[in-house]
Amino acid sequence: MNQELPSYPSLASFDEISIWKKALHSRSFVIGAVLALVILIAGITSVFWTPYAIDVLDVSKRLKPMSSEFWFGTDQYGRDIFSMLMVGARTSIIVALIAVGIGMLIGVPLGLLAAAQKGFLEELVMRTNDLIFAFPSLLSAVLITSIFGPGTINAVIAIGIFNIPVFARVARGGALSLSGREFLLAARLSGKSSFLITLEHVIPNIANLLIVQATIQLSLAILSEAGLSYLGLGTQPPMASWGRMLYEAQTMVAFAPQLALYPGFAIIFSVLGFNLLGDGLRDLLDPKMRRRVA
Amino acid sequence: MLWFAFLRLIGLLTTLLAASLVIFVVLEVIPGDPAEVMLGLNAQADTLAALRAELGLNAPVSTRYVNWLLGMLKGEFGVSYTYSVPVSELIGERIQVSLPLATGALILSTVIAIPIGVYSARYHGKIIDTGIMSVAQIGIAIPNFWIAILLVYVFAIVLRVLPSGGFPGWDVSFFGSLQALLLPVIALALPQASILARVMRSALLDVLHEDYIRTARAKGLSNKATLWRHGVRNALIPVLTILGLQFSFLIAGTVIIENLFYLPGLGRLIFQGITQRDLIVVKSSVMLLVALTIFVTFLVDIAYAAIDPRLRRRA
Repeated sequence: MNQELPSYPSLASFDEISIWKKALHSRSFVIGAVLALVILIAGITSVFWTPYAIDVLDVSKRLKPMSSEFWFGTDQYGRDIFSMLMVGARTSIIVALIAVGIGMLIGVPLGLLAAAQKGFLEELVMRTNDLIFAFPSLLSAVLITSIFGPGTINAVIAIGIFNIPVFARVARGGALSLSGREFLLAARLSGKSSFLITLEHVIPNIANLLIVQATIQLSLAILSEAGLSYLGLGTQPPMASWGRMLYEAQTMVAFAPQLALYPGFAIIFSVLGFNLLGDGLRDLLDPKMRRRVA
Repeated sequence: MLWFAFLRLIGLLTTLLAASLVIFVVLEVIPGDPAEVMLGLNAQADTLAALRAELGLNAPVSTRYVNWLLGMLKGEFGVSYTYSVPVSELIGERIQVSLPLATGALILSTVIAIPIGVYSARYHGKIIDTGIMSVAQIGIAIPNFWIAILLVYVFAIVLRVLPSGGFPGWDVSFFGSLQALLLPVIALALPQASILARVMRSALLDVLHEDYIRTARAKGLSNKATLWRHGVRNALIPVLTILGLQFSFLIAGTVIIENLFYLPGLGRLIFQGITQRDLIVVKSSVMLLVALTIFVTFLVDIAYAAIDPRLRRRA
């Protein structure tokens, strides 16, 4: 059961060149990276250019089919769907990146602190984690956005909060697995403070774990943003968001079912991309987890 | 084992207490004056004062919190502001939709995922395994509300065999209610099944490396019997954890899915409560869902320890 796939190169050396070589051989990594890159480029391009403006409603152009003029057709308000998908990519990426960033910036230090200072502080951090986990994430995001008002920023905060315990847990687990290793003892013997040791030795050694987790959290954040926007609590018009597009398409599904397809595919495309990228990175960075991991 | 259960129970109660505090602070303290929130900005001063008196808002915050907790312990959740019925009655009504929906989805996803995961693990590395896992990989990326829209299009609009939404009520039409829940259950279950199938597969692959599997084969047990009796049984432990986690996802998923299918469930109750600013309904129903999630996590922990004695020491 433990046989390797024949196409998989050996892990004899671990220098950077071989990592890149392996990366190009990893199907997950390549497909994931390409998908993520496409979404990223679409989002960045939308800042400077989209085929049509998305805040101009023109009913005379409503529900046009796919054509060379409107690549993916137009919606019931006459907006160009391709342009809206591009802006939606920007919304998704910005929300996901900031939300995951919040989770990392707060969660990782908390997790490291919990690992370094055993006792009361650790207990406090981990119990707070459990508490946040007890709130079904979308439910709480609905609560937060509705109390503080719907909108992109509140959606980012709501999603970000639920990334904090995830990163705290990963950072603590990673740091604990390093404890007692010789290079940490050596650093301590050479007189470094625990802050410096954490900064210079622990963080670089758990960076792999964090990067892999961040990729997976990105895809979850994109799904959450779509859900919130679908409920009308996330990104507000005239900004486009895939979730919002699905909501608007739903009312038209009997007459124009194609409207529901594009945003759905965009979500699947990007979530799949970041998931595969995460899987691929894990395969590359952590040889122990190779292949068998779900 | 008893000591472990006792410690976990204390953990459960503390988490519940902390969760209630968070909900209370978010809904009653941060927005400022709940009466103002519920009535909107243009409310008359005397209406405001009347509502404040009715809700007992003139009492200090700590008293209000304690009263809310004690009320819930007695089964009194207050009276809904928009519906003018006791919240407990509303919740009792709505849970008849949400509970079958969530458990139905949980059961369906398990029934789909376990055989597929086992099958995939058995043919590990073969084309069929790669194929199944690719489908699962895509399944994870699909939002349940998108599946729901497609299901509505196919089964309600094109084929016209199932309703696109609404719920007749169990006492009005039992069969009609089942029909109304079918598409929502499928929409909720499919993405969860994809996750579960992957977990089942990788857990089983982990287990199949163990010595006792080789021993079982060596003593003459057939491949199939080894797989099911020794492999799958041991692999179910991580699967159980994921099932516990998924319950929380399903609960959250009901908010979107119940809205999409116009199902009068708890998720829709909460969402409407929020948009209608009926904080009394929101406060208690959210607390109920969170309590349910915490309780399921507790059950999973206990089940875990019951299955695997090594885990008891951790506590």
